[in-house]
Amino acid sequence: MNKLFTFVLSALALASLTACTTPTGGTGLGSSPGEYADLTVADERAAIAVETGYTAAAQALALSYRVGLVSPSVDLDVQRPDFCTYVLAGSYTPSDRGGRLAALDCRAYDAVTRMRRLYDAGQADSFAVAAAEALALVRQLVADVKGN
Amino acid sequence: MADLAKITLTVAGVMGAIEKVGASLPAFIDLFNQVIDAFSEDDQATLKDALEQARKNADAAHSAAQAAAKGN
Repeated sequence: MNKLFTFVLSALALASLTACTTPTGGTGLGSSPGEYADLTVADERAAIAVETGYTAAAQALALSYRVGLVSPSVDLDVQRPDFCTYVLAGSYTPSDRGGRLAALDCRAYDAVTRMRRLYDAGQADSFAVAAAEALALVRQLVADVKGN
Repeated sequence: MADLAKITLTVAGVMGAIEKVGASLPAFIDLFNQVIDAFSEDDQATLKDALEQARKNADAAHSAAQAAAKGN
């Protein structure tokens, strides 16, 4: 799996390099000289790949719960309407696998939405980092759903 | 126009891909390449639409995962 991460990081690095030559006119301004609104076709592809990867992982998780491969957590916190906010605040300590996976899904989705915000702001440098971070969490979610 | 159907995920397709991830690196690279090869460099409108659809799919998948985690 380390090879996979290296491969994806390479793809994201390529996306950043391509940003120098094929600007497409982002939707916002960067906050530093290195963060211009110069997101590219390659960046969009990277974003689509991360979004699609997360979708696959989350769908697999949902199916795993529904078919009984993963038992829903006995933790009452999981039932909270603001469960993911609770998780991201560091307030939740899972006591079983169902809770750990639900919390990991929260963190992975949060990373994906953080990547979106940077994409929408046209911050190419930060976007590439956020995309890599999101993908790492997606990879962890996939591995944990599989029981690795 | 690129074929948007190429990135439409089916449950069977997702499960097939997930089963291969980790067990086979080339399988995931193939999935990645299928996504990025679906578009030409100048197909901006399609890319924007595809990204928007990918976001909606991810949002829906997150909602489904959290609902299932709650036993709903």
